[in-house]
Amino acid sequence: MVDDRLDDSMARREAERRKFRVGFALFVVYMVGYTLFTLAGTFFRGILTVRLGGLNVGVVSGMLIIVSAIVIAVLYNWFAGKTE
Amino acid sequence: MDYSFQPLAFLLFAIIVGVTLAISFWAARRVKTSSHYYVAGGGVKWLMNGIAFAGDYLSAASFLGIAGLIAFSGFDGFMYSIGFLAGWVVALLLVAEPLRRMGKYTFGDALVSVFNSKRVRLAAAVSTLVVSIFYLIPQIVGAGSIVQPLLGLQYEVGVVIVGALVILIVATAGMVSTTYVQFIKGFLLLIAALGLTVGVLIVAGKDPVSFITTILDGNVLLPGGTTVTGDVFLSPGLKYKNPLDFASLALGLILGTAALPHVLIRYYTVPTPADARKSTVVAIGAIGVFYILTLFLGLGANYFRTYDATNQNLSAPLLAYFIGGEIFFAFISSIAFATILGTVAGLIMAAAGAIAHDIYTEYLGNERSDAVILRMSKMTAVGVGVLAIVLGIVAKGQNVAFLVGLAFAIAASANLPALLCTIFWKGAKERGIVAGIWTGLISSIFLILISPTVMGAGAIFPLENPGIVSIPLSLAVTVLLSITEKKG
Repeated sequence: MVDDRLDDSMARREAERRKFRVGFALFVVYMVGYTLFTLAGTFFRGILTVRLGGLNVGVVSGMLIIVSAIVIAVLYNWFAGKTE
Repeated sequence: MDYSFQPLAFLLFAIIVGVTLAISFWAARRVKTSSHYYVAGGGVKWLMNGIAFAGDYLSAASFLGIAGLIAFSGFDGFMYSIGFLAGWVVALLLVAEPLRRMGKYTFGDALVSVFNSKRVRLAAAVSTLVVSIFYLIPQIVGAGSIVQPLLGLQYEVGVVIVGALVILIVATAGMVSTTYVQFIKGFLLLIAALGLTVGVLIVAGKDPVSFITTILDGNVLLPGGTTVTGDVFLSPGLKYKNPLDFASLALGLILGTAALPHVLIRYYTVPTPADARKSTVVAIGAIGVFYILTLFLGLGANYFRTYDATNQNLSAPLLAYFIGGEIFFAFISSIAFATILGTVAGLIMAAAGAIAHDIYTEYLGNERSDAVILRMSKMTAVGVGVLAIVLGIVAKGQNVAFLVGLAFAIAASANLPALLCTIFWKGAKERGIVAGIWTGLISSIFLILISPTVMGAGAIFPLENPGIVSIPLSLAVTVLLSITEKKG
């Protein structure tokens, strides 16, 4: 009985660790994208004015940052739900 | 359009207010304890909490302010949409679940669960109060702005009306009624933004991409009277001439969301950490879609020149008037008003929690019965509401999204380093956390006071947003004072 509870607790902790690792990796990926976007808007503004399929890089990358936040949220929730 | 009394607008406005008050009085019967009052008993379903998150977060700044900023400043306004959403990724991946495990009612509870310190409690409470009030001001300004064309009333009258209504909502049923109001309003706001965007594209006769292409290819008349090319309008630099201002804003926005007290308290309204995570995912979906739509609202307002050059915050309602006449204008304005009611209610809850729970009960050690604490909380909510009315009248004429950007920077500076160090760093010490909160709070406010926002051309600090200095400074102080504390 005690062993079962210990196993449960260890399994839960391991699941939390795995969730955190995946969450942190997704966080780093997102932050890299956001940082590149911010650096372009701060020091390399010319890049954001380049035309891209009728739009410009600024608008496209801004939209991508918004959409990728939604994608990352859904992916993380799917993984966390599977792990729990 | 003339800003005279419009009967249809008034009718819709009255219906929304009536429904809101009915919900509050109905919900009031369910509020028996301080736990019900502060966090709705922790029993809100994750789906409802997620939409309520959106209703809480999509404030006057998001609907009225961003549309205005995009109409007046193009891409620099859109930066607010991007940053406001990006912050939710930090909230989801780093804060949501750990915070739900740690706290009870407030941001201070989470920190004290680790440090068990009255000094930490006080610093967190003051920070919560200051951030909430900074965030309250633009909401009240938005309310005053919208009431003028909606009801033909003066700005000051609008401020008093919204203040009185919110006090009534919060004082009757706290987080229970606030959750219902935010849920309904979040849902309505999404429909309103979608309807307005579809209207813009239909009237312009274009699909979303060709609409933006048309603006990029043409010349854009700015509300000030000058003309710029579409390329300039949809690139950084119209508002933020100093490139570092853009970086500072971007930093403040992405790190601010997960540090906003009224967002953090909503993590305690659900039963489990998994529910906190799921409700954040729902919020990100709803808020993300809304922010994509804001680009079309702002560009539409500029494209059809449906703006008031003296009041950026009216761009979206005036666009609605152009697209669908008085009915659509009344619908959009009433939703904007409900938006403000929901967000202000959440902010007053956060501020009341800081005063009544953190300071009165915990810091000052007033052991009272739950009924007394509940009464004290409601009285505090009334006091904060009255303060919000006064500050809203003082801040008349400011762009609400810009003001909220400052609140984000203060929250990110004062709260986020303390929160993340508490959650993830075993080496964090009490004195580091306390000093970090005070440093972030004082430095960000001081930098705002000596910035162009307050001092104009003679500003000592050159940036409009303090985040790029105050956030790293607060983190450095937290870390430095933690690692230099002697053991034993």
